[in-house]
Amino acid sequence: MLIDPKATVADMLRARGISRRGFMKFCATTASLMALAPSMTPKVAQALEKARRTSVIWLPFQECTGCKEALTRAGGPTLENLIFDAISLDYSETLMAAAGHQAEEAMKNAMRDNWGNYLLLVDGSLPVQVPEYSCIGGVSNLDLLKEVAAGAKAVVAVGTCSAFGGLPAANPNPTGARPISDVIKDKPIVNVSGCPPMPIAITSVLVHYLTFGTLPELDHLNRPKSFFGQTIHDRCYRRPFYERGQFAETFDDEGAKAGWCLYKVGCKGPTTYNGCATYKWNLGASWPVESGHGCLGCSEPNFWDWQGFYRPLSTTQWGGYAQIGTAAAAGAAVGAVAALAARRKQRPVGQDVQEETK
Amino acid sequence: MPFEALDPRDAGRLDALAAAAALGAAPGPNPDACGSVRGRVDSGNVPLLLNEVRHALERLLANGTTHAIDVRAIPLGPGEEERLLEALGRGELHAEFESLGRSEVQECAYPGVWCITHYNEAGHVAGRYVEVTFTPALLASPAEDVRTGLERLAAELAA
Repeated sequence: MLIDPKATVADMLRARGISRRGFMKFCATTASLMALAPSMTPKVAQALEKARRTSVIWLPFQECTGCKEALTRAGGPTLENLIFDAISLDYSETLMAAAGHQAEEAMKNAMRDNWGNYLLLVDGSLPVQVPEYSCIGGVSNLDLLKEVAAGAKAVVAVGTCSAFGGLPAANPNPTGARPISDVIKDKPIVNVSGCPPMPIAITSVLVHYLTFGTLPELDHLNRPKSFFGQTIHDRCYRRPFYERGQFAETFDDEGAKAGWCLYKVGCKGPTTYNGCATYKWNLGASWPVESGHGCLGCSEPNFWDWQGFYRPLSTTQWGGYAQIGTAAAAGAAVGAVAALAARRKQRPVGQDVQEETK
Repeated sequence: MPFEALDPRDAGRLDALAAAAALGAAPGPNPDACGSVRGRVDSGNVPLLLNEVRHALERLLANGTTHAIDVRAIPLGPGEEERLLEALGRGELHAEFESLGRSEVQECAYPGVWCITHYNEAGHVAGRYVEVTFTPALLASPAEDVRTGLERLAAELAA
């Protein structure tokens, strides 16, 4: 079936035999996807009546494909729903059937037909120092990005690698990997960070743009506030244990089995902005903390190098427990010496008066 | 700081270091100290949600204002969503429809409170809502569908 490029999302669903009631169901789950209140469903319906399918080009750079794997696990709407009803995924090497020159031609056609209006999704970092480390069809990722971004409405950096550099940029960063925002300066960029990002966060940006024609509200790191506006700690169901000072000390002690706070075994929840605690993973089945492992902080910049995954936040800035103990002892010793020196300079009480009266 | 991969089995080593540096390890955990039951964690959100439903019912009766809660947008601990649904219970009316997957509209044990669950085509829960209203909008036939049905019926009769 050839798809009319002018067809709206509502048209696409009607063509598939979806009733108005089914369309309202689609709008309700779409509103949830954008972290909107259920009362916004009629407004979403109004917008989708007029929204045309968006052309999307997805380029993979220095990446592990985990972000696309995450997207294929999206549930509401599913990736299939998105592709058939909401977006026109015109280029994605992993997902498209075409290969080689056919695939490249599909991308060129999409760029030409939608110049200035397509969304460019990118996963993976850029080997800026040695561009030859990552090429597609003989063209470096760096050159390809600049070429395709030129006609994009906006760029969505999917995953921590494209948003912040990620694993390729971890010490010693042999390829000189950099995030997309270090190269593209003249287009709006949305960072959907995470290693991988939550599927719902990826689809939310696409659906927001499709529905309202704009990008969602972003935080100081250009991440959608709807999913990255609060820390894991803010929404963690184990927070009451943190407040009561009940911590798992190891992964298999009684506290761990009782579901206590994982702060002491390295949870980075207090400093990590993401929506895992609310939206969970695998269609709501669970998420790392619920499965008994602390948050790694994967949606934050430099999380690979910043601190050890199993060191509590309170120790990692200053080193391990031994270093803290040594530093504390050294500090006490310095303080004691200073106090002794100051004491020797002090005169006994009353001596000043006696000297003045002589 | 260079990346250091600690074997999770070394997590216990941190306790020994803490003790050596005289930072003092916390006393051994007593899971029963606060009444927590092994395997059951309570975020405290279930009673809050039930109270939200109660207040919504009061407003519904007072001035017809409807309310909806997106259950999947609330951070709930393991088992809490099930406890919430259990607390709401099941009423008289149950309706299902098939469109982009199955959807269920279940009246709860408290009239005016409805639990609506949308499944995707793979049978996974795509959305779950608690609505406080006299009749959920999904149960009414939309005018567009009525028009389409009328055209079909007219065509059948003319054939």
